[in-house]
Amino acid sequence: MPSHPPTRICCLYVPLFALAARLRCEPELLEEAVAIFQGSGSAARLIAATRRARRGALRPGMTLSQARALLPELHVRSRDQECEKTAQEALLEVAESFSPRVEDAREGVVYLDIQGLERHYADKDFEPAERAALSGFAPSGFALAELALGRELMADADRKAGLPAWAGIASSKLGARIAAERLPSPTIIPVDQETDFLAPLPLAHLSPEAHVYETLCRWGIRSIGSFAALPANEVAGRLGKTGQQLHQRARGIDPQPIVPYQPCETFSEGMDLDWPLVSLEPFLFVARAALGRLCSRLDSRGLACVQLELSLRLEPKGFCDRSILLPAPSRDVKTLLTLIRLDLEREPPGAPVVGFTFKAHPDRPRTAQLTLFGPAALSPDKMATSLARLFALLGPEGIGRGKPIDSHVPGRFEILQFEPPTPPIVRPEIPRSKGLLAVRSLRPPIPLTVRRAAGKFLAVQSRAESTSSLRLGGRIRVASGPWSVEENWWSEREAINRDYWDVELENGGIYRIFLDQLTGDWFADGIYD
Amino acid sequence: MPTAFTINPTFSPGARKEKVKERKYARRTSRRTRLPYFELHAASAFSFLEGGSLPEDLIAQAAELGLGAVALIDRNGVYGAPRFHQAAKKAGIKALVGAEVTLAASAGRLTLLVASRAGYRNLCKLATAMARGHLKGEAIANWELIERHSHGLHCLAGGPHSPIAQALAPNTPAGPHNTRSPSPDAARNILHRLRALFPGRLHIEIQRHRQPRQEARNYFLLEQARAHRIPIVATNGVRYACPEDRRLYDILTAIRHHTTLDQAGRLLDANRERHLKSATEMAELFADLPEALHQTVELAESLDFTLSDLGYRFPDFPLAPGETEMSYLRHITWNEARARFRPLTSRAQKQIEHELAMIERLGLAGYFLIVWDIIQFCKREKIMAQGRGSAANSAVCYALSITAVDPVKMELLFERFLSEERGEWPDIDLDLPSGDQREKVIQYVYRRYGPHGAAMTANVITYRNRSAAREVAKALGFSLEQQNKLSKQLGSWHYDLVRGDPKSLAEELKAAGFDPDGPRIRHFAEMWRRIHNIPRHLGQHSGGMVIAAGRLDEVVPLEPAAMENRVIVQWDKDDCADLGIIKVDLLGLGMLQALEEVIPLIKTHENKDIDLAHLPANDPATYKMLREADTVGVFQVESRAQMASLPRNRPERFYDLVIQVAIIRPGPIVGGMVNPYFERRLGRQPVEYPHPCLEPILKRTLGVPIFQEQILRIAMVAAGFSGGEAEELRRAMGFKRSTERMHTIERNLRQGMTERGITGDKQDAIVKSITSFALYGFPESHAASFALIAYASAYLRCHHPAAFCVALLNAWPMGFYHPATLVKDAERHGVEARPADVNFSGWKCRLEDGAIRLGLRYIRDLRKQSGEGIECARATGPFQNTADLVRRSSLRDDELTRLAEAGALASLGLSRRQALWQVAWESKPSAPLFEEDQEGPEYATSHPLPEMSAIEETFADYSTTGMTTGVHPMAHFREDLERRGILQTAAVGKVPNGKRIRTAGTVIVRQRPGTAKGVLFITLEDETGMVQAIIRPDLFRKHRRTLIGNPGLIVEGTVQHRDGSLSIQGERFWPLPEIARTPSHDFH
Repeated sequence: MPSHPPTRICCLYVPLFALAARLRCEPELLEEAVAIFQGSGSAARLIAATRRARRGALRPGMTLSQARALLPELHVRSRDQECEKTAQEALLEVAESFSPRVEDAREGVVYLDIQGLERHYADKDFEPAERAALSGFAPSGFALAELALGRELMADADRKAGLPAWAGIASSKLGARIAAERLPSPTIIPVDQETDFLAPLPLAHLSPEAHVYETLCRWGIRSIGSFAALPANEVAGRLGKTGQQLHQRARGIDPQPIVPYQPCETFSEGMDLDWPLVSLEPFLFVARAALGRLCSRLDSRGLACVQLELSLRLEPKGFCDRSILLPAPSRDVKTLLTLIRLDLEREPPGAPVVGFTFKAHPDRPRTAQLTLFGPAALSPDKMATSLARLFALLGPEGIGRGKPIDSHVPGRFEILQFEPPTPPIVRPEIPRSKGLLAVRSLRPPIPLTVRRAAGKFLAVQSRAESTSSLRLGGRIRVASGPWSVEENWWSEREAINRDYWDVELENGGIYRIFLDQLTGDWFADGIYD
Repeated sequence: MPTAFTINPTFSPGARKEKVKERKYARRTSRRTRLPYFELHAASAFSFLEGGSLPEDLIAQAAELGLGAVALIDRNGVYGAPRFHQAAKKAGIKALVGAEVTLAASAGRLTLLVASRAGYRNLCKLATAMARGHLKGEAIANWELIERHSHGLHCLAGGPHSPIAQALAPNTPAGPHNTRSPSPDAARNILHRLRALFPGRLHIEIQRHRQPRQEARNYFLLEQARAHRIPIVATNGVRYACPEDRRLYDILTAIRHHTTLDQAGRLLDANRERHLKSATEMAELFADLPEALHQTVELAESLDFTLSDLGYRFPDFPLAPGETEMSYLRHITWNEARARFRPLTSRAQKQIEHELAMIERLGLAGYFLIVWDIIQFCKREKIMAQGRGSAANSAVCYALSITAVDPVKMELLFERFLSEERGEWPDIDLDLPSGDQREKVIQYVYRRYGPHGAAMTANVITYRNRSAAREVAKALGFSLEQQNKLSKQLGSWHYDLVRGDPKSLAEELKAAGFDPDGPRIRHFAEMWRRIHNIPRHLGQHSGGMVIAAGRLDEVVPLEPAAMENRVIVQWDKDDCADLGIIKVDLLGLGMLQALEEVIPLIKTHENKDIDLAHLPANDPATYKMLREADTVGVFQVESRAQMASLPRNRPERFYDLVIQVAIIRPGPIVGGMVNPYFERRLGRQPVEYPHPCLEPILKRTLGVPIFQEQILRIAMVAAGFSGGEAEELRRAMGFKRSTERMHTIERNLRQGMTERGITGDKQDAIVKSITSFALYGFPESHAASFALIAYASAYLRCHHPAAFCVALLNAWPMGFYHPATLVKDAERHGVEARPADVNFSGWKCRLEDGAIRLGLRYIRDLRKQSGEGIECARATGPFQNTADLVRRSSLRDDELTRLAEAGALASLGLSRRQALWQVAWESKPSAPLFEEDQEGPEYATSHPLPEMSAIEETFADYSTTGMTTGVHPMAHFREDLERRGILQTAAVGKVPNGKRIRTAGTVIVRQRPGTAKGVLFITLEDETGMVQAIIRPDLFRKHRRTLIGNPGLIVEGTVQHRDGSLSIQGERFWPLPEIARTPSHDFH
């Protein structure tokens, strides 16, 4: 029977991951007393703190007020999911650069299948002190090679990902994880010596569930070895399946395999140019080809581009990077090229271009279910292209979706990001008129001059500075009001205080006009039809 | 005008009575033009988040505008009516009563106005019926209920919340989801129904708030009014007093809808039109409808009811034919007096006669009989009851056993209790054992006067610093983190203000990390200031009960309280007092519960009868114990500060104890009266009086004013204050004081003293002693009442320490110390304490052969029903093993585990780990698979777990029961501590004064009282006793982390002996983190 080489797993572990991830984003806090809190309000609890903060007697589980009472100069940060996500991705990238089989165990933990990799490190020289790092186990050449591998992984994590990772290598994930949590790092558990390695360690290394851990503490069980020594059937009878599995793990039995991680893809295309380009048209020519390739790759995967990044390499050195966020996923080359053109015209790179890379962030293109009886719906793809063109022409703030604001002020609305509405299944019924007047809003309102005497309205006239093509003016026959609206007093920019009047002019027009009490100016903002 | 960053110093939270009194109402004069308009629809902040002004603010504004009558129409009740009425009386305005009644099925609200006393009775009964069976704030009425109670009420139909408006609204302001169409037909039907319900008493209400939709509704209403000949009235649907109050109203609206101002949209009003308007403004608005204004006056004048005509009657005491309440009171007073006053001296007789005469003049005989009746019930049920407060100044109260202090012997001032000048009902507060016994008395009062005849008074919860900051910040859209910062920073604002530490709001906002000049934070500051004192909801007063002859729900609406079998009135105790409704406070006192428990224990276990009323006076052993400050568990004199002062006071008789109770209070401490008194007491300072005329007043307290009565008498004698002025001074001295009033009083005091030739330093000293009492001092009568209980508890602790400790443990939570300290203190006094055990313990602690047996109630997380279940199951025989325990009791797995860990299965022959191993098996899933696998008792013989060490057992005790009956945690470290030269606490007392030593212990008290200028006091406990360490503020700041964060401390410092009291002036500190987290009593 052929003998299989032993499974070897390496665990990269970032201690106090939430803190490490945060400090990766705010390196200037590295030497400060910093604490990370989880939860909000009075439920917030300390989960990690820098050495300086820990020296100030801060401990996990403290409330914010307790921590502040002990260390008034403490820098407090809450857990940042985005920081942690990017830190985890960076750690995964480091792992992927060593092994194709990587598991994302989240929270700063990554497993790598390193079976066979030790061969690349077999001829590495070690100092005697480094040999001693093998935790008392007989240092074989195999283990020394693994030690070298672990050290390189840690160094890469620090250099490339900016994370202070520890490494542990063992024959199981559990062993590797526990080894990774120990200093000096990397810690290697030689083949078949896991049970001996685990025995003296505290129970907490097994990450037991809280209630099981409490029970074991109550029983006076402090180490993994003393737990392993309990009769297995008695433990199972008292602690159930969870306890049984934990007991197995305490005995070094961990059958869990590595669950490979599927990375998220981006699509890149680019080229180095033989000669520098100084004008736009030649660049667009070569760019069109690259974008064509990019879009066909996206198309072959059923994806579209939702964000396009362009990195220009400049002469004599330097880069010019830009990113264009599309309003809807698109793979229309013409549209993407237009967006690039407009962007470069608006902000030229300022130096000859000697190379470029496009990076497309993919997303699923919009789809729509056609209906048999409903009106013909817009093609989502065409819609996305049209939107992208409008976006390119009008800029990001020039396109959006109007939404009425719940307000007493007539016709108030806000602009939201454009999202095509779901096509109606049936043609909507137009409500029947109830014989009331309809109001057409005048946007922007037309500035007016209003003549009044003894509280009575006499006449109105559009002011000269009005940009509207509508000119209104004449004697007022009837005025009804005022209808007062005072809103947003708490907001200096949006405060509104108006007196509205409905006026009928002698020429027959009926208008809604208002006096802005904050400025003293009159405007017309509606016509009754 | 106060800006956004100043707090009006005259307004402290809760001091709303002061506000009412200080307000200057513009008096309406005949010179004003009487335009035909009264406001008939004004809601106050007592509509709970639906009104932005207090009733007093509405009246102040109405007086300013010259309105002759205003109707307060709050939602579902008359919560604000008494305050509105009182303010209106002062301003000369007719305060009309009404309510907005919420209809079922979201049909809107009916505006009802009271026309007569019968109408008021109906409104109260209607509000009571609406609240019954509904959650707080969710009272609703159906049409049938309205019909039953419509007599004597007028209805205004047509306001924005009226059912007609609801029917006509295309949708509600809640948003576009409600797509109900306007239904004029439904509106007509409702109008028809209202006409039938209120024949001749229905009015169409027209409001104009400059909104177009409202005009459309008004058009419909006017059409209907003309068609059906219904009179129209103009109102403004007032929600706040002045236009500028609209902002606060918006904030309250956002709070009510749990949203922010930014998101509230049309939930907020469109403009600021819903304020009180003058007749001129209304005339302008209703120029086309002058009859609507005239009608308001006609209607208001026809409404013949105000709260002056409340119809409240105190219940008649059942009497024999021919007997009057006064004659019966005289009869029982004289009868009882002979037994109570021993002997009944002529002075006592004269005092009783004087009091009876005054009671007769004031017509209060019935009140005294009712309280006497409650006392009789307590006697019958063997419930301890004792009057506290100023009632102890009354000889009649003493004779009737309402109080326990002989006021004649103690020369107490009767006028402090009852005075003809005050014209108020007397205030008798009864202390009862807390818990079930007190509830029994409350339920007796309910039974005695019927479910509709008695109720608890309400407690109006208003916005205060912290809640105001949080809610306003939330409404203004601040993030949760910002809300937390603001509420924390401003949380102690008024507390500091009251303590004379005024702060700048701008500075506080800066400290919280905000720019005080930022626009939104400025709004926050302004709104935070304005929302103070605005009612938030109604709570239940801790013990105030009101009773009435007949139906109380015809006098004030009643509501179910959150507690079962409790009913509360819609008014608080001040409102009740203002309207002459009698209140009796039934307060719970933990020590009374303990005393009540200790007597049968002593009888059963020591076969001794204890009569608390006739304990041996001046018992030497008891006073020796008090002089030695050996007072853990003794009522009122057990605190750290009391213990430190007892050896200096050296009490030898009862009056010394009265002084001891009263002297360690913020008033005497801040007034600098403590040291002079002790120095004089120890003969080191001559007894002097600020002025010879004060000698009779201050003689008993060695020339130092200690009691409130002395302060009042000083004011009367030295400054010529009348009894009424002295009473005013007393009120101003209350905790909810007003700085301005105190200044006025100080001016008057100085003027009076100058007129009497008391000037210079003497005048200053008297003024200081009087004004410092504003920080809280005790009346002598109250101190005497408490001293009685203190003496009784001291006597019992001295002579029956085991029984006393058991009683304290069973009455806990109470007092100053944690049970862990109580048990260790008892052990140091030779009492054995035994751990809880399933075969010996009951739910409560008990005495067992002279030893304390801990009760199962101290096993953490053990349910009462489980504990009692164990006790009950044991009646058939002791438990044999864990399987037997599990079978015969209904314990949860976690409870079994707790019992095993606490060593409560020791009587089953099991060590703790053995027990834990077994109960884990017993707790396994009981599937058939496991049933077959059931092992017999033999599984008890062995287990694979390591046994607990002694220190582990101590820690397990603390984690499961919060205390230990084994050795003190410090004993485990003694060897090591001795090696390091660290003394036991008991040894510290033998060290000479000024010597530097080190001692260590668990921290059982940390205290930084406001009166101690930042000094921290720490009490350390070890297996030999306790010692106090005093830490200077600079050292506290330096060692804050060590001092606060550690359960045990080593303290190095200088020993201080002062007149028998012992302390260490702490200088260096080390943590003892290995000590289990023993509970401490911390006031930081």
